[in-house]
Amino acid sequence: MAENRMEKFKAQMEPELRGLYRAARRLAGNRLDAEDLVQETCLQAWQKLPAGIDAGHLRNWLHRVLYNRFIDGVRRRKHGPVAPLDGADDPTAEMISPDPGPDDLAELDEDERTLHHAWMQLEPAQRALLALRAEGFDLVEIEEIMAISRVVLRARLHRARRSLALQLKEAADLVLAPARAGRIR
Amino acid sequence: MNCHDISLLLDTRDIRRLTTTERQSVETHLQDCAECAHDWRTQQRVLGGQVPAMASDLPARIWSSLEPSASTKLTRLRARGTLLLGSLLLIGAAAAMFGWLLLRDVEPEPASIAMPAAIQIDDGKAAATAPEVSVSNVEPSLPESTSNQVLQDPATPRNPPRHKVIVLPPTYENPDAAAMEYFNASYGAFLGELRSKADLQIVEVTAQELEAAEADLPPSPLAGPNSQPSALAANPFREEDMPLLLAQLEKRENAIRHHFNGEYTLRIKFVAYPGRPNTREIVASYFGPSGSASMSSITGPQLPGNSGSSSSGSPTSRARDIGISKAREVYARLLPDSGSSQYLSVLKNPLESESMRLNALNAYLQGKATSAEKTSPELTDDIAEVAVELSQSSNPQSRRQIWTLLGRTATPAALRALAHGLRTEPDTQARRNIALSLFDHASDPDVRAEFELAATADTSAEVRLIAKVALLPDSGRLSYITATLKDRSLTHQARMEPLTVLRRGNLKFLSNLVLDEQSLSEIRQIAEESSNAFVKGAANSELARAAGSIRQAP
Repeated sequence: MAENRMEKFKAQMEPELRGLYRAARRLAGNRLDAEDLVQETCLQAWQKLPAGIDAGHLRNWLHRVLYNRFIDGVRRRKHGPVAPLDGADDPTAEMISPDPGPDDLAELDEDERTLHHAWMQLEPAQRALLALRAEGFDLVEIEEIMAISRVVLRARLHRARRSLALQLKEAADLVLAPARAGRIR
Repeated sequence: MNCHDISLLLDTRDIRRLTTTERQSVETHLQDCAECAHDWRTQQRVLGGQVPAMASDLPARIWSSLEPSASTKLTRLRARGTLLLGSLLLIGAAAAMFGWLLLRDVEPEPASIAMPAAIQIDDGKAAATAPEVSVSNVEPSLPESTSNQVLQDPATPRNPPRHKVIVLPPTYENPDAAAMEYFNASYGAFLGELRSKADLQIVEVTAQELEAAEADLPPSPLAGPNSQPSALAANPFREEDMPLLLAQLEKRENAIRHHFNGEYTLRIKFVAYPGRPNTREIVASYFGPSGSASMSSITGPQLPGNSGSSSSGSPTSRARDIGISKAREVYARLLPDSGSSQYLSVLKNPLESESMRLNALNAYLQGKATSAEKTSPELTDDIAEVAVELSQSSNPQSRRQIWTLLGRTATPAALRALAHGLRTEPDTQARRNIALSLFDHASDPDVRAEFELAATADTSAEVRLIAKVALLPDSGRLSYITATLKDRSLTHQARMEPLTVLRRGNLKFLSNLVLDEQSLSEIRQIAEESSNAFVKGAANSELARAAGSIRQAP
């Protein structure tokens, strides 16, 4: 019975994984954190996914979980040494930089690095908003995923685009190498 | 096409998939408007950005990480199966017969104190608020009606109806760094749990957004010199002002709900007490169409017992547990039907933490989910079975709690589990709780046999005393208590002991206890002479009880 459940779960989740990973990668900015986010999302889905959910709602549900996980992670980092969700204290949590590693940057061309640099300067919630729009979610869906009213959502989207434009301009003004040297730990 | 239309396209459409006409109109506008052109190019950049592909082995790694939890669950379910089957046969039909009798004595959870909603509601701007992740409170440049026309597609499948809850910024009293760490862990878990509910839509409002909305809101009656909770406590509102105050608060809460287009408002307040680093208070208040309520829990990093939970682990994991419990309590109040099933699903889920399952059982038995109807839910066989299973916990605090709960249920299966526990439970306090739970069932042959053994062989003097008195008839119990009180060869403490130990339980015979005048005189003397504050207090309590019963007598 458990094997059947697992097979059904895999079949249900597999079409969603690439989209989830793309969104996670945009949010986290690096491969390791993105993979962790996707894995945590899948674990929560395995434990709590509402029975009989259809494909459309599944996608929204998963992205809501992903977004919440991401924001919770940001809060944990921001508010200090709080134990991870599994209850075990993780002394290495604060040592891991949220910035992309050399292997992450190596995957990008120069133009992409500029974008990436600007992107990572955005507030996490702004990154999430733009990432969800880039994933093709409409405002109704984003409102549901991020749990903010549409009025506020539209204002934030506008501001996020402006912030990114500003960051892109600044990133373009920088020579990429020094920027990278300053950011890679 | 104007700036408004461009903004609408950027917000609602995939700009790579515009019609030719739309593209031409956009191009025309972008040539004349540098700001829109800037926004447009930014959006193009984002959409054109390459995201490195997912590692091909990631799915396999994810599935393999899930399999241990699946197999653990299966093993645990199988292990439970044997116990469940055996116990189910024992519980049988008697559970229904005893149910009403047993549930009527369910006490309110000591840690949960119902408080008037009005007193708990603080003005959002009056207290410190946590740093926010969200970034903007700017009003939209587009009318809502326009965006609705574009956004709402009747063909789009929608989720089941969801209740929109406006979560106002949390407030903090005396938040030192350690308390903030505790509160942040708790609040994160609180919000995470609420967000996981499919029938709730949680909308967090930041302090800035609330501030921006102030122009549309009636002023808070708590604003001004009395807005600080400490000042409020020192200078409470006069009783005769309360109706007006409540009406003003209700008006303001309604305005907040309407402004943010929500069904409920929800606030959470965290209180630390200077000089009491282990004591924290968490108060959640909601307001909405089904009424309002405040739920308060006293908890703390090293006081798991005070939270009504027996969770183990680090202070932060306990903080998270209390946050999750509080969220579930709020959810149960907002949506009683879903809340009740939620408690059951947590209780029956072997993957949930033990403390969560205990809290769920406690909450379920107290009828928190159905408090509006003032009814207690039925204790079914399967719930009793889970309780018996939880009584095997390795955590003595959990066992103490579960034994007390099982004592209130007293189904045949629970009685057998309790009787067995009286012999085998290693923790003295837990064994004392068991003995008190079994006290009123001493006529049951199995229970009696265990009491006979415990009366002589138990290592705890308290348990031996409870067992000894339990084996006596009611008249013998009274004689034992009075004879001990009058025996001046004993210490004050020993003379009071039968009363102080037995008063720990909710025993039927004690509720009708009437002490003779000589016993009361002995108690009076103990109260005057004893240098032990505990003994003095117990003696004074007995005298107060006796005085109450005299006044009530016809």
